[in-house]
Amino acid sequence: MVDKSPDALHAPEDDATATRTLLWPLLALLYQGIEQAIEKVRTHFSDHVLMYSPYAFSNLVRCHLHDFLGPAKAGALGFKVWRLPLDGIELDYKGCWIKAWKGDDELPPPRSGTNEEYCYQPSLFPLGAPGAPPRRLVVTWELNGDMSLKALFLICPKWDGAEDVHWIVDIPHPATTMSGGEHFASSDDLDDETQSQTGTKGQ
Amino acid sequence: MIFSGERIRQAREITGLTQIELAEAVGVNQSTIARLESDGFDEPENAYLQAIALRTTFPLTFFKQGRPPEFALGSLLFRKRKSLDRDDKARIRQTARLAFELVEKLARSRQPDIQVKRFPTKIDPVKAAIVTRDNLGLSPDTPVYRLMRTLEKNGVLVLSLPVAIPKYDAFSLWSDGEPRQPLIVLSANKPGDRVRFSLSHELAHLLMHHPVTVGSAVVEEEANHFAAEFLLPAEAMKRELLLPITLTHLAQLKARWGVSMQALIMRALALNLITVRQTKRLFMMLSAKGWRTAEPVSIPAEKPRRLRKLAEAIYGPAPEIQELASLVHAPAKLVRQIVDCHAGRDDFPSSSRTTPTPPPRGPVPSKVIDFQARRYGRRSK
Repeated sequence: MVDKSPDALHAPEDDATATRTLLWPLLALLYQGIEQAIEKVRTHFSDHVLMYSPYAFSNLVRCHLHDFLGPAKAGALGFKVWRLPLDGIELDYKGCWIKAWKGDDELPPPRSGTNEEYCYQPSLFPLGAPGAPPRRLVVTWELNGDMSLKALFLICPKWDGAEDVHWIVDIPHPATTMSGGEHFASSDDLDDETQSQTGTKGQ
Repeated sequence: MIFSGERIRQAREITGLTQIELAEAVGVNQSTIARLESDGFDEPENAYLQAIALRTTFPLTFFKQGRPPEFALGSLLFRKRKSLDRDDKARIRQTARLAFELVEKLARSRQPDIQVKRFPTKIDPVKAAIVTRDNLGLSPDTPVYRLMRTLEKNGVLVLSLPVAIPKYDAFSLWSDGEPRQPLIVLSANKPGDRVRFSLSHELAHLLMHHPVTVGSAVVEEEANHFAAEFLLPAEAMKRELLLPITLTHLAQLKARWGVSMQALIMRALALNLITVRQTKRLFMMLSAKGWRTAEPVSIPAEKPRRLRKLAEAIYGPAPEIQELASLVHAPAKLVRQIVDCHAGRDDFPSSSRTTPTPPPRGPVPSKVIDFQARRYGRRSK
């Protein structure tokens, strides 16, 4: 028998994938923006022969990301973006408030500030439920050893004394969802010149 | 009809047999097969031909129809030995020769309208690509769509072969006889972006190179330069390959220009838009995602049309394979495989012009990570 209890309907896995699908247009844009921002910051560190600083690196990534998510993109996609103290970013999109952080071994960073603690107490009302407060989510990025982007995750955090996340789901690279246009495939036939080669022309 | 030993060689090489293997099947020694394959000898005893027919699966009539059409190795001559061995080259050439013979018989000696012309003198490959775009009526700095059909409409005969040989994508040649027709012969079932690059590369050989004195490395390099400029014009690339180049950026450009991400990286390097170090880094990023061997962003592959168009004009919309096979006296199975590599009338539904398939939306399915299994014990409260 199918379990139709509210808990079953909002199991973490269903919620995670449904949320990711709902937010996909913004997540794809974020992927592009974070990937580009990381490359800019990595180049900056490399060109100036700077010693790697995780704090500075992450803040600069968010600076560039904020620039990337300019008013034109916000208007086109229908999201709002706020710049928070210490280069923080928060986005408002489809009933979700989303922060962008550097991940900590594929998990959200430790709760160290008031803002983070607030974020770790999200609403778990079903997405789009009338009157529900905004869903608080986090997008984290992970770096490879050479400071290139390794992966992005969408996280629903929580703080109940034991665990830090309700769920965590990877954000696929946007390239894996792209395809070349049909304009590369032939939709038109050869013209009647071919007929002439078969002996019909002039007969 | 004068017997030609070349037919025995053709059947053997298409089947992928050595002279020794065929000799064992027929019950003679290798030198006898070598002699039979040489022109100028009388037709062998029927028993021999029957044994050869049995082993190669070609009908007996195939061996009694005279010499096949002349068919040069063309740009296969430029291929290094290590990338394609002699037997593979022979198999590709002889299968293409059979497909070409089928086209010739279907065309019934009517002449194709050939618009592409060889450059009369040596020319810089970049300049040649710019001129060729203009000659084909393409704009100088936008993506080339439907490249195969464009070439076919300009008189290039494109054939596709059911041969799965690693490291073989395409070769090209000018046919014998008058007028000499440009041919490009592709291996079937390659990704669309690879087919487009192969077509451009072979077009360069057709327009710029004579299979004579030039060293293969130089010729191949020139063809690559031509293809790069033809598909990715420098001026457009300087506008679109903006730094920093990311994987998403490359994927978007691949979808727009129909060229692989790896070719785009090499183009950026060739135009000095990125350094060698940046190039290596981008390739490492591709490798880390497993995209060196299987790139994302699928480009639809075109199929050549002319062969089936000719057959449909004679036999109607669904030509019988047996009838086509009887034209060249070849095994129906082989002819079917060749025909299936080409586009038929049904491949152009009228709806395809008005309702193109939309690209996939939303993320690809992936598994929710079992964070709890990893989480316990990592961070103390």
